[in-house]
Amino acid sequence: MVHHTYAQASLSVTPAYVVVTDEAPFGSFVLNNQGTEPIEVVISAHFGVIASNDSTTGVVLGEAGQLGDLSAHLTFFPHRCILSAGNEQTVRYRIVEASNGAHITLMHFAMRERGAIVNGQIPEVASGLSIVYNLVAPLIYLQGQGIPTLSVRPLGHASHAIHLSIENHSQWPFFGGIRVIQDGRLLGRAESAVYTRRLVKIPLSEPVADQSLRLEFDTDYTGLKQSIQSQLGIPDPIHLVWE
Amino acid sequence: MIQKWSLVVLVMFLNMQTTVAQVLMEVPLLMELPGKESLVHAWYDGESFYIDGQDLFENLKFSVQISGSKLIALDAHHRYEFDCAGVQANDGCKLPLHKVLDQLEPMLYFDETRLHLRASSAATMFENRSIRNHSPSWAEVPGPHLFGRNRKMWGGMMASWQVRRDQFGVRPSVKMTASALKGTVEGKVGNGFRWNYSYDWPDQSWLTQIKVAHLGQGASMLSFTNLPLIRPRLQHFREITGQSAPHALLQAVISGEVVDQVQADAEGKYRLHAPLWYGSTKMQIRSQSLGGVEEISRVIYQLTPESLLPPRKMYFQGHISQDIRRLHLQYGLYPKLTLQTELEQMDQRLRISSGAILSPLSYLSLHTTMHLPDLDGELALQLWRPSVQVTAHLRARRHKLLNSSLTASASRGAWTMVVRGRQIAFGGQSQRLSIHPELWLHDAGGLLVHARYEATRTYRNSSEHRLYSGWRVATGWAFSQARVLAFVNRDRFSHLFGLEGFLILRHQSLSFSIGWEAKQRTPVVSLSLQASSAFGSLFVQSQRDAHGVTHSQHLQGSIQIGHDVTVSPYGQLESAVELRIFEDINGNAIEDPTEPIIPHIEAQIYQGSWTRLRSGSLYSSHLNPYQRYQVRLLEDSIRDPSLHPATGMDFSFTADPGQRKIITVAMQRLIPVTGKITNIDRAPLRLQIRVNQKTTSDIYQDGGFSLHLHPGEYTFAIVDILTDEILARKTVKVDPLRFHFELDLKEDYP
Repeated sequence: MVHHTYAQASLSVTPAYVVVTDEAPFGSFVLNNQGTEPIEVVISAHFGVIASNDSTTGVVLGEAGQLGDLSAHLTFFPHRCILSAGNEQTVRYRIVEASNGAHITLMHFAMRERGAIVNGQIPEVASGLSIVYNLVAPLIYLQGQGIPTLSVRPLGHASHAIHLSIENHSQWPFFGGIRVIQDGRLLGRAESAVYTRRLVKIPLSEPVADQSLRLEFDTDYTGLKQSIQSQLGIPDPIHLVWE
Repeated sequence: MIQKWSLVVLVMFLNMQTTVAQVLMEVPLLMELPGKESLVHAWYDGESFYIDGQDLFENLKFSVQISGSKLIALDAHHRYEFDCAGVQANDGCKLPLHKVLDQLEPMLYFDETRLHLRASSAATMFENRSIRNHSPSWAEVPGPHLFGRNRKMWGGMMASWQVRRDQFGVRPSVKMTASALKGTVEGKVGNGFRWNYSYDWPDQSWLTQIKVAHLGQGASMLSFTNLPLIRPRLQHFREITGQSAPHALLQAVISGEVVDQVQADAEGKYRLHAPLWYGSTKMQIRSQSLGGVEEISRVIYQLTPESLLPPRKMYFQGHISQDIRRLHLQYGLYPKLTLQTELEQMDQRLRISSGAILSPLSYLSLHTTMHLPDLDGELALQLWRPSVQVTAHLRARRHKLLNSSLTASASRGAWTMVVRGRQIAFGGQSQRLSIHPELWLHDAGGLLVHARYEATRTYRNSSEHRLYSGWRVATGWAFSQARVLAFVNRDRFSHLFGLEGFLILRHQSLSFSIGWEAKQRTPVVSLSLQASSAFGSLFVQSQRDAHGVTHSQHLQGSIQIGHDVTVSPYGQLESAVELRIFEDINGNAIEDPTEPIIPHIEAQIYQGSWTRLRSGSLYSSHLNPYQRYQVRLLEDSIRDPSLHPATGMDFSFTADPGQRKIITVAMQRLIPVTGKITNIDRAPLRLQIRVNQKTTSDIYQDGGFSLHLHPGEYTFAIVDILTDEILARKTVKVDPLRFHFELDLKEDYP
């Protein structure tokens, strides 16, 4: 006799990132178990950013350029929860007494399947076998207004894309679009969030004709409120020349 | 030789050990019964399934007796006896599943792939009614009922006042509803003084309300009834039988919620039960045959008139005064038939009326009444179909038709057609017949066209007759906030043409009509204005026609006296609620003067709406007295993550008559209590932490736990959920700071 059980755990966290200001320094994430297995989730906040080195983009903990540490000013509830299949949990947070400028923390949601109760299972084996899935959602708090200062280094270009390394030298994060302009014509645009350093690939409608480009920026970023867009100014355009 | 025998004995012993030991893997089975799901303990040894016999048969509503190694399951009609395959530690009994299925199939179906045990809907041996005795969420307002009927010697008063001035003079009047003397007092001043006092028992079935009243001019009255004060939503459960594919899964769905689910039997027959509410119920029957074939669905509409009583319910209303003694009885004989009778004694004369309310088809309702000794008979018919409505009334005495009326309306798209007809007999000598067809066109762009014709024919002595006719045509533009129409009216008294319309602004409205009366050669003008402020509403109307000029003014508002005094521009307010969500700083759940209302926490009230008061509390008026309302606090609006409502996020309350009910929701700061269990000797998923033998919380796979508690002393117990054994117990005091402690299964063993 062969038995098959089909069960899987699946966690979704919404929203995927949050930018809040001192006007409403609170909010919530919603965790939803869309799978068929119960899961347990451990929620924590860590100082860090999502940033790139020369080849990859990932989570960098313990440093965030000139952005402040929000973890010390953050309270949230709950710190861990068990979610049955199909259930959801609201994780509420509040920010208190943060100074002027931009502050960041990474909300870390570590999910583990609970599985079925098996009689006689050795506890160390049970917890050792289960896999922990990690989700990270940046939580950024802005107090005051500012304009991010960016510098760009070209990494290379193909016929239909350009690769850039964008670095942020200010205490304000950049959320918005990067537009590639040549001879007054828009060749391509890509959205990105740059906290410290970010590799960005911009698809182009036509190949770059010469080695001189103009990069313009905007604050249209998917999901970002208009009021926050106006709080973060538009960086100055950058002329890009490479050999 | 001895060594050889020793080896043989050892081998035999080891062999015996391996053959006796049985490795059982626990596999909880999901048991699906009509209207219920539950988990049943079961085990699998690699070849066969075993099931906890007591668990299984108790879920199937059998009485279970275990004597020695035998299990006997009994109900009123059946007796099953099984040999236990192994006695469990808690005196349970493992039964081989195949032996159970041998006896219970085809009523019980085991799906090995999904580990489901499913009872067929055609199963007659299971007492479905007792399985269904759980309270379904859709039958009443869900959520814990925390704030019930509030009785007070003085619970506040609501008074609505109005002053009307017209050609007959100035007429002030005041109506009051007060929650007083543990009941309700209503009064009316204006053209005399009237009052009544009522006491209620909303939860009783044999008597729900008595009322004594002073009717003015020395008259008084006593009435009593058992009519439900809480308006019932559910009329009855309907049984839906049908034929589908064999073993198909059938679901009855109302408003997206599965209200019943059964599995068809081997012949495809099924029987579903679904609630029928007063008003209209749209129900979808979904059929999913085994094997994943495409789902089939059909829709059933049902309309239940409010006048039909729930089956087997009897209601009475009694009325005693100096002049009249009356008893009205109603009985719901069947879901679609209600009988009613009334005995009335007035001026030493007894009058008996009896009749019935019948709804033979879903969209048809008939009311019949016969009065004795006059032999007056009345018949009312109502027919609703999508886009069509027909209402007819007939009244006859001793085989003669006294009067009759018919109204039929039909609509399709932008078009609406209404036909009204009426016949009235005047003492057998004369009668009048009239017919009024009407046509409306209102398209999406706002164009409105209205045409009406009316014809009246009067007969006298069955030969002499006269015919009068008139018509009206109007056209213009109509929107929800404004309307202007050009019209022509023509009948035997006047020939009028002109313009009419209205305009509604935020709290003000204006309506006007201006025209020329061609027969009298005079202008006709009317203007009315409505304005509202925080204190009252004013209606002013002026009219000039062929008879002269008339003016009228009408001022109205209401005052509530209770916790404080507030005024409102609206008329009579019977019942209201104020939700005060405050921060409970000292944790005593009582709102103290130093504890502020939190003005940003949002809440939903179902079948109602909130207004935010200046104090920060939420206020809802125009509630139905005695009715239960559900409130949900919106978690997203609670800014401080450590604040938790003492009521929970959902609760319900009963609206009190004549009272502004004040509900306080204490937002309490709970202490996060975390900890870890050490020296765990079994899977952490089997463990639960029990706090003060009341609430339980699951244990995480790393042995950790997380709770939120008030400050105080607690006893924490670690329980194995499979054996219900207490593995550790510890009493600790939780301080008003973040709290962490450890429980050791060896050291803290009870």
